[in-house]
Amino acid sequence: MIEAQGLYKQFRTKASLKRGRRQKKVEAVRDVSFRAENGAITGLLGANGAGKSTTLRMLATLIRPDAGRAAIDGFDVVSQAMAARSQIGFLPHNAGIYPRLTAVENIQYYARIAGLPDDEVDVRVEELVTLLDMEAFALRRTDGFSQGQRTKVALARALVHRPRTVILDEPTNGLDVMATRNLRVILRRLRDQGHCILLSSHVMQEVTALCDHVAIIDDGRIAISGSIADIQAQTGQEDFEDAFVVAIGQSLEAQG
Amino acid sequence: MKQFIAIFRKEVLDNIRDRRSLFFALLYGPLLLPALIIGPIALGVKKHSINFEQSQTIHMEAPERAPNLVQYLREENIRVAPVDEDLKSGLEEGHFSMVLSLAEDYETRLRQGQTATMLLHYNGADDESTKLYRKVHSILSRYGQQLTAQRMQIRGMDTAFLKPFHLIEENVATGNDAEKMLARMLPFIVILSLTMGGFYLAVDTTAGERERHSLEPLLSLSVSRQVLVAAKFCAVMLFVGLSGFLSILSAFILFQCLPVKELSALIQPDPWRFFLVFLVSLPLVVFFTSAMMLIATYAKNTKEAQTHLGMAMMLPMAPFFIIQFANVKTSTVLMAVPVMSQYLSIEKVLTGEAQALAAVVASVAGTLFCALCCYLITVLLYRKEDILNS
Repeated sequence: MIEAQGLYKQFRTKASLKRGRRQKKVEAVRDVSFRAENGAITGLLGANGAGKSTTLRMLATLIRPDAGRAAIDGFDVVSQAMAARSQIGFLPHNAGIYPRLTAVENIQYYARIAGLPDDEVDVRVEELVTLLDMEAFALRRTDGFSQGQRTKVALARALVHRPRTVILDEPTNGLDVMATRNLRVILRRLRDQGHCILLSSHVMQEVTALCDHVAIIDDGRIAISGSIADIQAQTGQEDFEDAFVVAIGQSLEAQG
Repeated sequence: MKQFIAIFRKEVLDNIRDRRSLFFALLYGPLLLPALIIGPIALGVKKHSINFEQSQTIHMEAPERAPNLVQYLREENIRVAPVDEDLKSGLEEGHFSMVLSLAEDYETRLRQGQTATMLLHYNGADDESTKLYRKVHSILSRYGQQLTAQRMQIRGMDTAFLKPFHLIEENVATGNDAEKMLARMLPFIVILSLTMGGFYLAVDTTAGERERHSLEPLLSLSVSRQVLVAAKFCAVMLFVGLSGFLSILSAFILFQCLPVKELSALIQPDPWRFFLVFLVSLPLVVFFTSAMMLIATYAKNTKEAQTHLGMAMMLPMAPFFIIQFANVKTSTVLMAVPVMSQYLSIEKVLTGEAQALAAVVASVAGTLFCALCCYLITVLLYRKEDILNS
């Protein structure tokens, strides 16, 4: 389970670094609060630059919030970062797998770092290869893999230590139709196993097809959150895309 | 500890599979460098030294005019062969290394106590011919002195009259310039190999990892940054150390294999001495590893890391040129400077000069201290969230 309360994060801009004292700060995340429950798929929906990735990075303990707090299964992401990390599997925006290692070696590497006993490593890797349908390319070096294959390897790697919470940053980015459908099946299966799944996306269709719960983020703030039906009811729109436009405070006419 | 081993193993495996990186770690520094640098110098030493034991042949026009000279040359291990073809073309085509011609009236003038003329042809552009020239020239001067002494004795004069002083020369330097160059080249090779050996892995484990976006998921695992840096550090250090070890080993083998008797005066190629060279360079292995890690961690991407490291690699070369061109006196303070101290130390180990304990301690402590600083800053950088920003 993920709980975020009033998260705030600002960055110094690169150009201003050169000017020295007069640094310009950019507020990437201004006020983000939401909950992602176990046994549910929660979507963080927002336009490009709305603050999705920064929020996920804070939850994955990669960066520290400047204000507010967040906890993974009760472990604070700042003060109990190591405990929080062992609860999460994180799939970043880019797969970030090692090209000179095979798919299996990539997964084994994370299994060993996560502290799986040696005899369990191979069993678990085998399970994931079957689960994610990776038999055809499991023993090949990942250099030259398609985007879909990379995502599968990265996802297997994120799941290898059986984390309760899975955080995915735009997981369907660059995937074709079939790969996207397969990924949905996998994520639903994980949800049904009781995992807490949080994914970010800027694709409406994606979110409506998959998410039980949605938090719409705009300009670093959570504009609205709830189930898809809730959001449609609150905004008075039948179409979810229209609901999104209304939620982020834009006029429907202007958007066409 | 298990995490440490997992990360260490992966980095080593990853580097072994990277052909370019492996080439620089195991072939370039250890094999190519010594062959390219030591080979020519060693051969140069051989070329420019004169072997007085080996018998050589010069050609002489009309040797029958000077039987005494021929005899004298033979005693000096120079055999005389008559010129049996055209002198000019024979010299140009390199059939003769050297030709000594005697004037027709050589014998008569010599007998009358006058100055006789002889003509020495040699080829200054040919190393063999030049060596022979130097040798024959010195033999002929001695022969001339002998004749002078004989003439004076016959006329009842003391030979001391012509010799106001007797000069005894003693050169305290061991070995010649080329040998010294060799003793100085070895640390140069070792140090260059050390930097080349870890270069790509250092870039790959940090800047490369960030560029491939694999650092982000790695840092989201429950592994402490200290363990992460320590494992990466040890993996890089393994290759830096291996590269250094192999370069010293190949230099040792080169010294053994090259027929360079002339070197033995200065550099004894005994295994113990080369092992000492390896021991002296060990603190440097630690220092270079941490310095390269720091630079690669500080850089934003692979390209920047390579540029920074490329420039930083000039620094280890600096002491070589400073020692070469400025007369550096070894002091304890100087021995605390990493790289500089190893240059001086390795040279001394090779030439068998004794080293003060204080100097050795200063060298090891100074280098390891700098290594520790770089290492700690690297860990600090890994703890900052800026590490993710490329």
